[in-house]
Amino acid sequence: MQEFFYMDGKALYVWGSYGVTLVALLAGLALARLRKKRILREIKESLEQ
Amino acid sequence: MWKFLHRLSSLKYFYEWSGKWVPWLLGLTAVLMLVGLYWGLLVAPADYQQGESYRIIYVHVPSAWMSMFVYVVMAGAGFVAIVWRTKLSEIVVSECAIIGATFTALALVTGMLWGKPTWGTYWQWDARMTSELILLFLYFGIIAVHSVIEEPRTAARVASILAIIGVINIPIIHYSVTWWSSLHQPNMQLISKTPSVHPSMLYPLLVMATAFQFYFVSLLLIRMRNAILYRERITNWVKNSLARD
Repeated sequence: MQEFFYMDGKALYVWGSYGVTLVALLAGLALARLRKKRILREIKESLEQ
Repeated sequence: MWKFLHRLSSLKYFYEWSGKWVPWLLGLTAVLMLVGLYWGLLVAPADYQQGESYRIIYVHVPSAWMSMFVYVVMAGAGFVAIVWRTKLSEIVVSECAIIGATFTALALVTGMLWGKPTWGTYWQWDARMTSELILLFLYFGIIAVHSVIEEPRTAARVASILAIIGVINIPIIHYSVTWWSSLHQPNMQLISKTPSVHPSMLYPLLVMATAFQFYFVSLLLIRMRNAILYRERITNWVKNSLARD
């Protein structure tokens, strides 16, 4: 198990690559979700006026 | 077929149609991603030269493939936008630019993180790395066009032209490692009797690449739906569908 995280001593590079990729992919989805909420709120506010 | 495509090009119809697909596509993306990560990190053997660090391939190569694939999709949509002036294809151009820029940045960053332990340097101004960096700037240019030109349809036309001109960079990226000497390894030979990658390493790579494809389609649909909602926010169908919720 320890060996798995150690990655031949290249842990920083290997886990850094996977980390940055997963963060970027998840951020893409999260930002899109936020934007949808914002647009819906804007439309609802304009409806109430 | 043409009738379906014609109906699909209506923003309202596309919005409703795509809404049914998004949850399935996201689910499939998650499953493929988990299988690919498990396979690539735990099942695939270590490389006989690079040891464990080669495992960066499972995020680097799919990102790099997608950085070019998304560009071709974007330029294709740009061509449709110029010839037929369909709003939907204009939306594809603007939403692809941001997703494509993300994949390109990922390809560059993971490439640097792979280069350091393998070549001893994060960066070299050789043809592969430089042409991929130019790809990133092309995406930035298209994003900038959309934020500088306020009228969305004019912006779409300029962005489409830029996207189509930039396609010339795609074969340059692909063949850069063949045409010029490079630190970067040559392209994989997948379609041959003696593939250059062993199946035990290739299959997890193909799973990850498929996962990235599904991620792209999912995020593109989600982003297009947002763009449609925003563009059509003053129309009755948007207001009515909100009132129903």
